[in-house]
Amino acid sequence: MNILETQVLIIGGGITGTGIARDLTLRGISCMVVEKNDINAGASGSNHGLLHSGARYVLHDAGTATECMEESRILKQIAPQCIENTGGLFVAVKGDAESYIADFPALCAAAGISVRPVDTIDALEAEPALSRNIIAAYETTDAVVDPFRLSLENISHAVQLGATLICYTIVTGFTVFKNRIRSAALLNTQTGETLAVKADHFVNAAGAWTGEIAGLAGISLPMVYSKGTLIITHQRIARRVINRLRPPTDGDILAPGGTVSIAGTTSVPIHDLGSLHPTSEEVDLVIREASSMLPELNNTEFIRAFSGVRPLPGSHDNEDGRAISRGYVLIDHAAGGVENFVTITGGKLTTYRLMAEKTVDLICSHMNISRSCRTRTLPLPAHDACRWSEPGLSPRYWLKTRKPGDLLLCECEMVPVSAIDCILESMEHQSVPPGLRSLGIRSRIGKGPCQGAYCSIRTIAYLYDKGVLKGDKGLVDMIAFLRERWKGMHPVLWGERLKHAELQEAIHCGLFETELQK
Amino acid sequence: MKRIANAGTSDPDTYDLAVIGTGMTGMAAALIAADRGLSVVQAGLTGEILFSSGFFDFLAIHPVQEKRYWTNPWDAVRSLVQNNPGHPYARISDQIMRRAWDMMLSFLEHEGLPYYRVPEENTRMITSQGTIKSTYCLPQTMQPGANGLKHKLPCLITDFHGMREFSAVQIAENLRSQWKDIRTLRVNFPGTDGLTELYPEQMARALELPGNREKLALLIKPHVKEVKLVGLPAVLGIEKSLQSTNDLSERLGLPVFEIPTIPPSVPGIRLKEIFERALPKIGVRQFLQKRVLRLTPEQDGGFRLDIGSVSPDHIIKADAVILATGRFFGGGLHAGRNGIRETVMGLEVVQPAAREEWHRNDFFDPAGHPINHAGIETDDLFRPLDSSGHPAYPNLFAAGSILAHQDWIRSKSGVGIAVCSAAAAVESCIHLKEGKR
Repeated sequence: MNILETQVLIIGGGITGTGIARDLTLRGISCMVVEKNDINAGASGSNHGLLHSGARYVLHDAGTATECMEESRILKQIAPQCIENTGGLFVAVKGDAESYIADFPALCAAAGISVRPVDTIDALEAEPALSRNIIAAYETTDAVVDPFRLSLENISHAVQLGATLICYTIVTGFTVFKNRIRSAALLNTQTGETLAVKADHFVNAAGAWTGEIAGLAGISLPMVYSKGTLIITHQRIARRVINRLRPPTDGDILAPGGTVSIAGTTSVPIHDLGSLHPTSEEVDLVIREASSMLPELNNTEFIRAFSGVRPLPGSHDNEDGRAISRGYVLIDHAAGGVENFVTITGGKLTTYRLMAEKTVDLICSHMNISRSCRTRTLPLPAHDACRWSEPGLSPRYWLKTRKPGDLLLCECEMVPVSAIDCILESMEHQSVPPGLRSLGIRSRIGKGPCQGAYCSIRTIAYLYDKGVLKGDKGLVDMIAFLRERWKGMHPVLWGERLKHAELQEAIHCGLFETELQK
Repeated sequence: MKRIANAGTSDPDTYDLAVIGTGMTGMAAALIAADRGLSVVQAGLTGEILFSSGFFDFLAIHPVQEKRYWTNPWDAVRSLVQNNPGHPYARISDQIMRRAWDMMLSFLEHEGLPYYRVPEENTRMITSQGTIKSTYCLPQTMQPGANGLKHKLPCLITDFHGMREFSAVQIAENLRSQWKDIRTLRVNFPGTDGLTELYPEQMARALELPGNREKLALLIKPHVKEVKLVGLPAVLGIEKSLQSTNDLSERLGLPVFEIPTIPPSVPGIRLKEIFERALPKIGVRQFLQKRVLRLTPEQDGGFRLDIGSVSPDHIIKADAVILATGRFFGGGLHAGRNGIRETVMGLEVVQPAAREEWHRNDFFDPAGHPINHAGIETDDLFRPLDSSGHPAYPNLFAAGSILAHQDWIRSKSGVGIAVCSAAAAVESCIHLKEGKR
């Protein structure tokens, strides 16, 4: 068995894990990130991409609200390439609690968050998609961040500084001896290969799987899972982040994501992480709730839906996920009998940097290292291979720099061969096996109006031509890609989208008979 | 609104039959009805036929959830109608089916697009994904490929720089476990530098010219010494695909075959062009790129059709109507967030109770998606039924994929259902007409 050594092993390649990896390497501490799937496979990749001003949490959680406010300000400075600084509007509609509308400015002020009242007529002029029934509006500093690019930039920087990323690999157990984890046993789920990693410290940043990882070290860590479903509109319908001005509940937020808008969410307690897919009922609930702010949602079509799990530390008795703090939880398991093991969980995308800082501070204190955190001011470098997830970038790049022979693999989003080559090269550095899903995370492949119907076929063909796919690997990859896409598509299939789905089935099952291949 | 005079002086005031739809079903219905001596008018937005792969499926898989493959499609049909008496095939006699196939294939042969079939057998053929597909009839230009697959003959597959959705290497890699000796070759398409995107239709039009075929043959020729046949993407001409294929074959000195590509593809264009060229010649009055904006039942049991693009520019009368408007992609059915409706007449649609039952969670679920069984319920004469179970109109028929209780995609029966139900609807129409006399 292959044995690797590092100072810190981080479990989980979401925004928290990749953020910790960057912070550690910037303090000169070596680390590895082990990820069971690929970057942002869990909650980090299935959210609004909201960079919270904090205003949403002023009622229940002033602490988180203040953290969001401070952290979003920092991220706007250090990672502008990942952020669209849209600004936000909090709006109330007829029927919303007037007491909350009245209390909102004071609650925000108490948390140190600046909001500005806006005349409803001005709000309608700024955002014509808003309902004529709005009765109050406040301008906030909410913005949106591309969560994939953010994690990819963090891990790229960390890898550049010496960190190692190990994707498609699960932790199967820890060797614990004299109150310390000595090594973690890993299994590559793609190749079946096993390996062990010896480290001085182990960080559990496994998101929804935090409880399972803690359990492997003999630590009981009860978690509550709250499932949130979001839907992506065919076109962007508002410039700013639109937030419902009421105590947080379902379908409150519409956030822009490049050329689309994302509406959500729901909050349903779940106990099983196995089959996490959005349902038609959840989609209808989001439409019903959010359309009272944005009536257009009733008539627009949706590209797809997706669900994420909010990992909330707490007991199963507390069934309402929204009542639990969205603050992060950092646990030093020394008290629980494992000296070199910490868990970081909960929290927000917006506060990932702070969570990483606090986690690394804790590890440093254990290691007697006194190097201060640099991520608060040091800009996050923009890596070449990370920019392809940005909507609208490919067309600009392609039109400007098109070289002869640089064919377009995706015509919806204009992704050329050169972009795929660039991403494949960086994936090789990060030991990520080539395939449609990993390319989809790192580019706009599969995200355009055809939802991958054509670009998936061209990309697979290209990977064969390049020699990176052999045998029936491409067919297997295509099947996995279509299955994954389908999970998000089927709850929003009606109108034009349903026509596309029918064509997709006619092509893959009718013509290619993919479902019958042995 | 005034009635606009129709172009030909021989146009009747009232047609025997109006066919709404210009997909395979509409084309088959118009062809068979005209052949049976009816005066026929046809309207529809052409488009869907372009998405035909060129394969004519009849029935290969039944039951779908068991993925059971049938070598003999006729046996498959017998088993299917026993298990599923609501299936369109259950209302069509063997004789009508056989006549419909013969009619369609001899028509296409006459128009220069001969098809290959073994009358009692499905044929297996490779696709551009390197998968193997079963079908009933395939263009003659593809047949050597089916033969090559059957006997695993040493084969060279050639592809082109710039044709992004067709990789010979991909096909060879995927087939390796079943068809070992496939070699690959990539060349620049004649007249191109290999540095820009190529589109199948332009390639096919270019290969109509003998000069380009000669250039292509020169590129391939040095690589054929050890193989018995050569495969290419389906781009070998449009109007004269068989001649183009045979010509290339002669130049190379061994059989050449076409491999179907992702739709919309050249075999679909060939079909579209033939139907649009040939149907008017046998007397079908076609309104292409137009839709029936309104279909109004008349007192006498016939129909008035308001035909146009945005506003009506032709008003036509017909004694009977065949709805061949297709499913969702074709526009015959529309799925809204809260239900499925039929788009021309608002006919009753058999459908799952709620949207969450339309699709299964797994795209490849072996049972298929329930929405694919939704559609129009008919009587034995293919007349759509109203909510009380009676024919909605005495002379309105439905045919093709719009019919309920079938899953043409998973059972591999698309063109079979189109052509056979079109033939049956035409027969019903004639039968009722004769009964009236």
